[in-house]
Amino acid sequence: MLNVKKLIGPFWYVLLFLCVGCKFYVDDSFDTFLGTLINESGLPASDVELIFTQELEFTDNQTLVSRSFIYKLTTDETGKFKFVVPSKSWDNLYFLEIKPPFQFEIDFFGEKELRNYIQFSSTEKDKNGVLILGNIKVIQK
Amino acid sequence: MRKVFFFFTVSFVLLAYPAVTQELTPKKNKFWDKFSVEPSVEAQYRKFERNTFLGDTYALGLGYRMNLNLMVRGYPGIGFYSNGLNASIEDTIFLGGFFKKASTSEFGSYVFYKFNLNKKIALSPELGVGQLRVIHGERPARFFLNYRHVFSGLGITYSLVREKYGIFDMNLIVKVGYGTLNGKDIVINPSDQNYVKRSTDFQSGLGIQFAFF
Repeated sequence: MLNVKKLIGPFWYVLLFLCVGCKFYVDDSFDTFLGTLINESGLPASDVELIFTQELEFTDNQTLVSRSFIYKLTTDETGKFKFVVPSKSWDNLYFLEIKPPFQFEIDFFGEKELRNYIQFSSTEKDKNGVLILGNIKVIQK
Repeated sequence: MRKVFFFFTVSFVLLAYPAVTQELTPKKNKFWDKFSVEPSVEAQYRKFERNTFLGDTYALGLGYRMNLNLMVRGYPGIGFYSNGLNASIEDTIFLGGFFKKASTSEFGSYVFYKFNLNKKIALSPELGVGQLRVIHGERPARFFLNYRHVFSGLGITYSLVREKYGIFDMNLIVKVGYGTLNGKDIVINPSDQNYVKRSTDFQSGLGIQFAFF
């Protein structure tokens, strides 16, 4: 015979999981992404337009470009940029796109590679919700 | 949920109070003779301090506020309140454009003292604490920001109807208040903490108050 009392405990766990697990945003919490753009000489790259997005799509020539954007900004004279968004429980992957004539120089398994975007996840943030992206090299073509 | 609970509490008090007073009057109970219950409903206007996250981000519309005052005449009383306002979101570098609209809801309590200036007008300064919640977006993707609210205020009541049916007075009430808001549990980068976590607010309200005695 079905023992209802034994089901009450797991029922509360399932209910708690549904309530907590279904939350898309983390209350009272913001994620911050900080970084600095530097040029080939290692100097700050100022006045460079950046697009902060979560949606990239392929164009006809197989280049990834942003379909929409969260923020668009231009780096200041020190090359610094900062983006702040509400924290999400999942869907934590963000992209930073740069427009021609600039490209990011990234280290791809030991090889230098030029791309028009970089990606990062907010899961690696610190206790203040800050993810420091550090110095990012940009090449002007 | 809080609003439903508050609604039922106010309704229960309104419905049960005449029965309680009829029961107690023959016993000449001095405490209950002086006891008064004062529910009120107000239209509320609220403004956050500029150059803070709350003030720069949210344009608040007109809202409501419900109060329930409990007092023994001649002594300080205690009040409970709940309010709600809708807000539109201004351009901000904090919300990522994820939300089109927001609303605020708040509940809390306060202590007050009523000074009768004359038979018609009374002043009631108050001091209270509350919990403000700023709600962004629609279910299930909602984002909450919580702030603790410490405030002081002044209520002015003007008697419209006295001793209706020997049970209650009806008053016009005007309230103004000023408070500080602190979102100490909000997690954000250190350079923006002061801007996002702290603010002050000004509130004013106009409504109707019933005083059951």
